Amino acid sequence: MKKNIFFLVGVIALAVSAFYIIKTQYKEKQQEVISTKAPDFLIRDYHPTLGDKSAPVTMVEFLDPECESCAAMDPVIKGLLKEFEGKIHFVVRYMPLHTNSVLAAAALEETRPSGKYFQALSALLYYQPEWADHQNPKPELIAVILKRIGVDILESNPNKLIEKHKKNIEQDQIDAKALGVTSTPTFFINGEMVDGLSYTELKAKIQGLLK
Amino acid sequence: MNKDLWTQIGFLIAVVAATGSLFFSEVMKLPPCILCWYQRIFMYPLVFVFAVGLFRKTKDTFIHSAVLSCTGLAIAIYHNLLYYKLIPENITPCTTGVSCTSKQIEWFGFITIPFLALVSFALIAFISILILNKKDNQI
Repeated sequence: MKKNIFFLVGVIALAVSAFYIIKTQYKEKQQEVISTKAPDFLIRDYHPTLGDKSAPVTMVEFLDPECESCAAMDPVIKGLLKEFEGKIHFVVRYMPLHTNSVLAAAALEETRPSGKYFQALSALLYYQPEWADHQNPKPELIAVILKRIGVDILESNPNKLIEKHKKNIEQDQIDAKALGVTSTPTFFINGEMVDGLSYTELKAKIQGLLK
Repeated sequence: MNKDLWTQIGFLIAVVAATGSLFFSEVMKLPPCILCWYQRIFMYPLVFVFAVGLFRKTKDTFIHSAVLSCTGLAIAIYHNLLYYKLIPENITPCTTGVSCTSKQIEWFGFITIPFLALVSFALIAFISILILNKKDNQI
């Protein structure tokens, strides 16, 4: 009996520690691959950006306008950008994973000439429950929501909109795949993929780089 | 035949299979296909069946493990037949998400995830049936 308790606890302890040791090694290896690929794949010249290119911290976010976690992270990112004003270069890239993600991304791209891109992004993420319910999506509301912040794309044909911005969105997906991005939101801070998705973790990472 | 030893071996196989599959999906981020999910349903309880079995004197553990592992084995056989294209893919139930035949890992040219699942289920089924075929109720 006693022997079996030791066996049970031993096997579980061994399995759990093996899991974490191999996990750490795997992540390190993955980061090495990312580091070699980052210069070519992480940032191109067409993305929506905030802040100065020469800022000490460059944060790239792969996001999906229809993704709930991205919506949850939006206020966090805004807070960080405000807190570290002038020190972060923020870059947005797309990783469309849901039914209307590509349309939403194309609509967002369409707002760029107006200079209201980041306002539009926050609006779509904030009002996500209205237009992006996965059981009952209402993609027609995307244009209505953008109208609220003064960008009028109500007359645009959704298919034409997608066609117009397809190239960049597809390039983002290709790069995401090359970098091993499988979920949204995925953050890269100075070329390193960030594991945790919280204000504290991101802040600690940024502070560490600014020291 | 030492029942304790076989329970321990069964427990080990189930734990390795469970942690391994979680590693594939949670760390390597390989999405499990639908047949993999069905196999997980039958593999994960085996960890607990054998864990409890370590403290039981009867052969009941092996009745439970035989039922779970044989069902899992049936799914694993079907999955491997699909995977190695021994039956045509167009009858696979996986139409959305990850295809059950997409090759995600291949070690030494023959060790694949469905193959590992098949071996685990086969070993556990073999052990269970071996013990159940022993005449005495208390080993």
